Amino acid sequence: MDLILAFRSDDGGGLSRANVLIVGPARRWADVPVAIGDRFLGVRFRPGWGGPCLGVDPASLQDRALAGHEAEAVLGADGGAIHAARTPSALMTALSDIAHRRAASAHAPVATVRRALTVIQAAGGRLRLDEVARLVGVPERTLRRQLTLAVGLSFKAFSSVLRFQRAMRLLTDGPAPLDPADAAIESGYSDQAHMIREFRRHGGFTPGSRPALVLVGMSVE
Amino acid sequence: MRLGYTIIYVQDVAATVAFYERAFGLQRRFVHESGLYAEMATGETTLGFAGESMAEVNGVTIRPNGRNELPAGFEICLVTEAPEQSYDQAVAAGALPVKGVEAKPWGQRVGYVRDLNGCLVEICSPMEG
Repeated sequence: MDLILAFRSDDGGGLSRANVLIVGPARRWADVPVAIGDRFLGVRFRPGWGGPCLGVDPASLQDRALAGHEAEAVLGADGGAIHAARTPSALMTALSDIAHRRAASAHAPVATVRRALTVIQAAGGRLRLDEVARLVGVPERTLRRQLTLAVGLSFKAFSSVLRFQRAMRLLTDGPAPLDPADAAIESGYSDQAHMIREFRRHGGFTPGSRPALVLVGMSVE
Repeated sequence: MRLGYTIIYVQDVAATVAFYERAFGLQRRFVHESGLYAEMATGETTLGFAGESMAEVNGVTIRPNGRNELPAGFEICLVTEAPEQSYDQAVAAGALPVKGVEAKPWGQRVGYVRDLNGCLVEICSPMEG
């Protein structure tokens, strides 16, 4: 889940009132129209943490976003600090403070869900649910329900997103990124055709014709 | 090229270090303050432990180890003059017994346990001559 601030800024450093967007977990891509001068600042919460940090049920935001009054209601009193910012850097500071404060006081997911999220991510979305359930020591049905509640996506959809994100990183990160054939193997796709289908679904593009900037591929660091 | 480190990704680095000290008599050489990495004093080749979340940071993926899992296809081999005693000490400290120490035709005495994370550990006497 993302907390995003959209605003317009001129060369003098001033900025318009920021529009707050709370973006839920997504199973497929969405296009955002952007004009010259549009700027965005955002925080992406780790899977399982967006709900507790924002006080929103992640599943209620699957494939959708809150904007306007609905998003302002989620921010509550934190909206004051956002709208008091007069420069992009002040806005960045306000957003960072809000994210850190909320993360520090959020109720962490229960230990079994945290461990499940860790191993699912460590495996890049390549473990089966029964394998995760055995590692964590929770019945499969219980874990399936807990993960859906925590992440806002089904285990299958979540795993698919993680594989896509990892493939994107392999194709784009560092001075010597992988070529598509090697990235497909390393991401756990059965072949390049499989990877291409998944890229169309999650990204709306193919591995060979990626847009210049795809936020989903950004490194975890 | 030389083998510098063997690093195992584990659920709990601090608990694994404590277990290797208790069960196998190894000593810690370095524990990072983040709790996500540690090294044992194992001589020329360092045995290290990294938290599972480090896999994502390093940009790699792993199949996590677990006590209830089939062990992955590797083993840690620890050499001691008294493998029978070391085997008993490991099991008493919570290692899972796999195969008691027995003499091999080539002269080594060899036993197997699994550690707290389910990883296979061989305990053997030195290879003679």
